[in-house]
Amino acid sequence: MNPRCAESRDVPTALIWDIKQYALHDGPGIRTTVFFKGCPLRCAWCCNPESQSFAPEMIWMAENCIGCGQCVQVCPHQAIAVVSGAVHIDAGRCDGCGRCSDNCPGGALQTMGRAYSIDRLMEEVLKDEGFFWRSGGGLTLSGGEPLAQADFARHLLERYKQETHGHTAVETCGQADPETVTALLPVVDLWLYDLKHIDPATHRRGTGADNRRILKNARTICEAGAALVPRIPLIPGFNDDHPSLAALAAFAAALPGVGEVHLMPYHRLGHPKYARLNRPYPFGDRRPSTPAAIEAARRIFADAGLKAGIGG
Amino acid sequence: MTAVPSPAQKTAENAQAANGLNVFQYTGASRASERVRMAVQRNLDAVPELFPFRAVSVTRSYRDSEGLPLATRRAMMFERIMAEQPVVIQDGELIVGMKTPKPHGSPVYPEINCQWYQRDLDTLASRDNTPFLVSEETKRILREEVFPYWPGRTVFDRIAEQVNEQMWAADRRGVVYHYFTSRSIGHINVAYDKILSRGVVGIRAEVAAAMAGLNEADPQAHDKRLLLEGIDRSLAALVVFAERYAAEARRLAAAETDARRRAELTEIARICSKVPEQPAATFHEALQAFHFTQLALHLETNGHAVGPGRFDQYIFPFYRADIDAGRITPDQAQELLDLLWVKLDEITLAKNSGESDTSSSYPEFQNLNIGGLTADGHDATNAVSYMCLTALEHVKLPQPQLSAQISTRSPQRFLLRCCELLKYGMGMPAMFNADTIVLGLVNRGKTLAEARRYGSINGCVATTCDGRDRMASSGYFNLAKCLELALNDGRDRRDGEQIGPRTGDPRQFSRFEDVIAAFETQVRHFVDLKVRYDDIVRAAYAEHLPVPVTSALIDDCIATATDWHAGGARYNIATISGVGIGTVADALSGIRTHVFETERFSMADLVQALDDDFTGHEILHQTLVNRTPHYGNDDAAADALALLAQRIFCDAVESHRDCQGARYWVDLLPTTAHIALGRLTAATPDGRRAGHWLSEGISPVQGHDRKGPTAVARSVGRIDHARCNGNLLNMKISPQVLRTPADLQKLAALIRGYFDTGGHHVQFNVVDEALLRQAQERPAEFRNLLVRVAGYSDFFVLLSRDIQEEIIARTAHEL
Repeated sequence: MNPRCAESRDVPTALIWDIKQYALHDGPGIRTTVFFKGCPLRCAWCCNPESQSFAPEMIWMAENCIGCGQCVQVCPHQAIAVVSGAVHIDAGRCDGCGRCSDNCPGGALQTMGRAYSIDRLMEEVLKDEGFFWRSGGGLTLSGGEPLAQADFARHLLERYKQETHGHTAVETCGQADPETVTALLPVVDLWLYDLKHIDPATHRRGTGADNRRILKNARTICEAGAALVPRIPLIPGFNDDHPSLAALAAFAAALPGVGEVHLMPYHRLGHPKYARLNRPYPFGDRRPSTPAAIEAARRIFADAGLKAGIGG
Repeated sequence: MTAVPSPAQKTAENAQAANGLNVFQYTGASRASERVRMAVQRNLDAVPELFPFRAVSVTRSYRDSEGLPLATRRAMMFERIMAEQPVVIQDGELIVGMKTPKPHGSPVYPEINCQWYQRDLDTLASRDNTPFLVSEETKRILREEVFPYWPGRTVFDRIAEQVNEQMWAADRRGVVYHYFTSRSIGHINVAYDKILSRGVVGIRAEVAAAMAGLNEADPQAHDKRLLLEGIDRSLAALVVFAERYAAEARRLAAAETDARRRAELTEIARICSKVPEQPAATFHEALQAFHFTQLALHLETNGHAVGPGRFDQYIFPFYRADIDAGRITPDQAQELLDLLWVKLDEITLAKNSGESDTSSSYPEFQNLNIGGLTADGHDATNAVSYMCLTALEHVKLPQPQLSAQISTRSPQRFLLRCCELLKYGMGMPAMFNADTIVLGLVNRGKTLAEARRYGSINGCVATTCDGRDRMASSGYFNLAKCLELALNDGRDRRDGEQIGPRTGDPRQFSRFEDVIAAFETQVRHFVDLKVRYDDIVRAAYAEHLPVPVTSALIDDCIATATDWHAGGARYNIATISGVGIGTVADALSGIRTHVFETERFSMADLVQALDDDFTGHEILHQTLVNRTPHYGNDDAAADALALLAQRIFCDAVESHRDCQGARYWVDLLPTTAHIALGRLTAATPDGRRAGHWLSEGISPVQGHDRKGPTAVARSVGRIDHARCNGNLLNMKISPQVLRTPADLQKLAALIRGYFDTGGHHVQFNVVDEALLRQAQERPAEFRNLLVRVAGYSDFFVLLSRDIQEEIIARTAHEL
């Protein structure tokens, strides 16, 4: 432990659902991305539904299940039942201890969300330090929503900065207290900042919350001179019409220092995850963004003077 | 920094190159000339075929020279080959000389092993791996003129009468794979620089001096004189061969109506009259002299892997001299180099059916190195280094195998240009860590300056020193089979036959250390056996197969008047190639985790499951596969088991010297033996079922690496690379990671980061699964799809189905 960072002992743990090494699209260079669990928004198109809840969750992948029933035996809370070949987990009883997934021979059960201390997380992050240095990469916090576990996130980034002087990035939906954002400004080199819609009511309809804080925080960050790249998911029927995108482009172009956006075409790769969580897919049968729609969107942002990268 | 220079930069750089400066001469994605494309197409259309000419010359010569000293007979044999070999100049060629009358032809080497040709002659054209056409006329000639002479007279006869059943059984059962039953020792990068700069005349002068220096009081003086005379006669024969090409070029020129081609043929005639006899003076002469040398080595004997070595180092002075003198433009030089690439690609060899499995390829492992270090330890890249990359880009053929030596001092633009070429999916250039090469060579006895200047990759990924080494790469060693035996009291699990030492009933093992001890005992036993086999072989080649041409081009064979096969090289080492280290690491991790840590299963459970090939043991099987910490995921504890297996193997191997006093070393490369040896290996506790392929090189078990390439790099970096004579790491990446300059920088960073760990080598298959499946379905459309197999690239559609499947299964590191 770094003695200069005494605070880290006072900060308990964060709930992390994935750590991805060799992340090539979450900021410059080769990066390790830490995915925090829990998000204040509930976007209907979310491709990582396992990241939304602030509690650990079990997912079950039928294709890996050999039906051995070991999970039922090892569960200390009698939360698991096998009904006609399918594993059912009683979310009310499950506390996410992970014993079932640790013992699952086929890897069919996975625990989404494990508590990590800063020390433990730093161990993982520093594994690829040599590659960060060689590539100008670094650490990216993603989610869920890293700002929803803001104290931990800030301490982690401070610690990382102190030890490596490396590059940091945060992928955020922006739905956070202004003080949280301000506190993070000194330790974040790049904000990858989701913007989904300009109209508060439409935003609320698609994500469960209106966007006033989100837009304000974006301005705060840019006015402080920090690097921010808006990331706009292209959601068919939600924001991929010309007026919606033009409004987003106008907002982005007005942010001081912003010259580039990332357009994230809608895809359905998250669809199977809903079944694994035993949840319905709220976004139904939308079709992935077409190349024509992507190109049209790119032009709208280009017209606003913004360079638009596709896919981040 | 960007990977692709602007046209203005290019022009500036070309201008600098034209001024003779040692700079980056970037030709970008320029196209090959029409002449080059025609030559490439000729090779693509060529059908591999067996030709009898060499065998007839050799048989007649051996028959006529009976009773004479062997050194004399071998020189006479080479004279006859050089005098009788068909001389063919193909349309549009500027670099000439052929091993057989058509590209991709194989001669026959009856003096080494005639038996296998007789056995396989009728099946050679239809076998699964690397078939060769054999015409009825060729069959007739071989059966009438060649085969009858050789029974009892081949090198293999000498080997077979000494090798005992235990040694053969170890081979037959897949514990080891013995080289040299049908191919001589090879694995040489000769001193091409010597023949280019001094010519045959210069080397003959060296021979004359050695002869004059013979001490008549030396009881071996007579033998030494005969040997030196043999070298001298063989060198003279090489000049005859070149002169026959000069004559053919003059003949064609006389009949040529096109004035331009007539001038080219006249120039070819002039060059072939001059080199290799005289020192080369121009770039064209140097390339031609190089190619004649390469052909001579391939026609003298059939040793494995005759490599051009540090090609850019010895060719650059000729390029620079031509540019300085205004004799050539960079484009003209590039075309000549492209044409040499096509010539090297023509060269192949029919292997016996066993070897065509363990080393499944048409390419002949002609490993051409670029980059690396100078004798002083400075960066050695030069204009020719970049031209070689462009030659690969222009011809896109599997040979020569291009290896880029990257040191900490290599320019980033050189590395980026290498990365850029990976987008073609050819798996070339392969990336090597020059600093680790030097460290390893110094550890194996070379001087620091030699290690830097001549340190070179040979074959797949093995290290050698150009022009002064004998690196007897002796075959494969199946580490996974040794673990199988350790877990079955020395018995082959497939039929219960006792083939290894009794190391105890595995069900009684009460500590993890018991498993390790049994494994080590099995490894030591079979390493001893392998070394005893190698000694027989080494002595057989030393006594029965002098190689005067090779000896002329490897120091200090002339100075000591000792044949290269008899240990005449300045440095002699022997190596054994360990196969399946990833399989062993994961298997040991499975045992340690589930039997001795969590105690979820007993040794008896495990042994029963292995006996049953996991059938009926699904919980145990899935637990091994999914719940075991695996090598390749940056898990230090799991990776330590790979290092432990390496240490056990290295300790066993390094304790030996061969009959010529050469120290043994380990390399960890499989070629394609991990498939052939896997077929003979029962179930292993990594969850691998009987008969399935083993892990290859030092790569993690296929599909067990789940954390991406940086984790693989760090895990594999935990192997002690400098202690090995070569380690092979395959990574498959999708073309998406090579789209933009920023992508190339990230790939370059991945390579640099891996080399920071001391990693020796990494090669990339840049293809996606969908494409490979299409290629399987419609091979005709994918005739030119090159993929990295092991230490070489080959056309995907020519590979056997299970090797294709294995390539597809290698974890794709997607974006």
